[in-house]
Formats: sequence, C-alpha cells, structure tokens
Amino acid sequence: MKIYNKGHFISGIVMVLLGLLNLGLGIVSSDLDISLGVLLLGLFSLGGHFIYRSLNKKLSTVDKLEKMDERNQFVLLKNRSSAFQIQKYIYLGLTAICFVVAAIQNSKMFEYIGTGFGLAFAISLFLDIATFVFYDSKS
Amino acid sequence: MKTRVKELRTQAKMTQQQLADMVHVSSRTIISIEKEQYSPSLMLAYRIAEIFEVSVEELCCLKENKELEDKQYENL
Repeated sequence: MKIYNKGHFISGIVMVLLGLLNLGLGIVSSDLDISLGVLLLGLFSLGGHFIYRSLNKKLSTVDKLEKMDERNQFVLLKNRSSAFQIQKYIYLGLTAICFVVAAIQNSKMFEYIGTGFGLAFAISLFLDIATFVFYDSKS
Repeated sequence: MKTRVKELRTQAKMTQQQLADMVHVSSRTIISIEKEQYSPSLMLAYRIAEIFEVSVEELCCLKENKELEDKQYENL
C-alpha cells in the first residue's frame, strides 16, 4: 500500500479519528442522536474519501495537478484575501455596534464583547500591514 | 486578455481536456483562457504556443492587447 498524497492521507486519518472519537464520546455519554449521526456520516465519508484518493495513484495525480494549477492558485489567493478583508471590516462594524448598544443599555457585557471584536480587528489590521511589508520586501 | 487558444485548438481538432493535459493544467484553466477570463502566465503561454507551433506573441495577440491597454492608460 503506497501513499501518493500524504496531505490528503493525513486529513483523511484525522477525520476518521475525529469520527471515532465523537462516536466513542456519544456511546459513553449515551447521547446518540440525529445530529451526531449526521456529523459521523460526514466525517467518515469525507475521511474515507480522502484516504481512498491518497492511496490511488491516478486520483492523487489529478489532485496534485489541481493544487499546482496556476488558475486555481490565483483564485485561492483572491478568495482568501477578499475573505480576510471582508472579515476585518465585519469585526470593525461589530465593534461599533457593540459599543453603541453598550452605551444605550449601559451594559458591561456588550462592552466586553465589543472589546473582543475590537481586538480581533486590531490583530487583523496588524497582520494586513505585516504581511504587506513582508511580501513587498520579498518581491 | 484575448488569445488565439480556442481558434488554434479547434483547428488542431483538440478538446480542452486534451490541451489541458498536454500543458499540465486543469481544463477549467483552458476554459477560462478561452473565455478571456484569465490571462495565462508566461510559462503556460509558452507551453501552449509550443504545442501549436506559433510564437507567444501570436498566441496571446500581444500587439492587439497592448493597443487595448494603451487606450486604457490614455483615458486615465
């Protein structure tokens, strides 16, 4: 048995192990319901799918080509940077909303939540600048 | 960016998948190039040009695309 795609193999194993862990916890706590069933179905089928693909030479080659494909890399780059930018401004919006609500309702809880979102925004902003400086110097 | 990929591919009676396999990209990339939604990298353009035995300039209609770009810069 040869592993042609280590990344997918590891992902598959992790998913199957997570599934087994959830199943074990469900049995131990006698908490087996539909939502757990759906989760287990998802984890086992996806994990099994990744393991199968990683052990199949032809499918692994297809997966590696897809990963190396320049257009796919370009789309992923655009997708991740757009998602990050949108997320950053959502944090800013949520910070503002929380502080406004905190002021209106005189609520400490909303102040703390707003501070949390504000911190998340600050970290995102810092990362944005830091990664820009890094890639600008490298290119 | 406008290219002659579709024209040359159909002349050679090749499918998009066949061309994609020959230049080591996905068929989705070839589709995007033919729809002018994606501009190929220099290396990819060179690989495709080699297969159709044309120059990169001819394949990517560089003169025409340059003229279009120049018009954009004039309007700035």
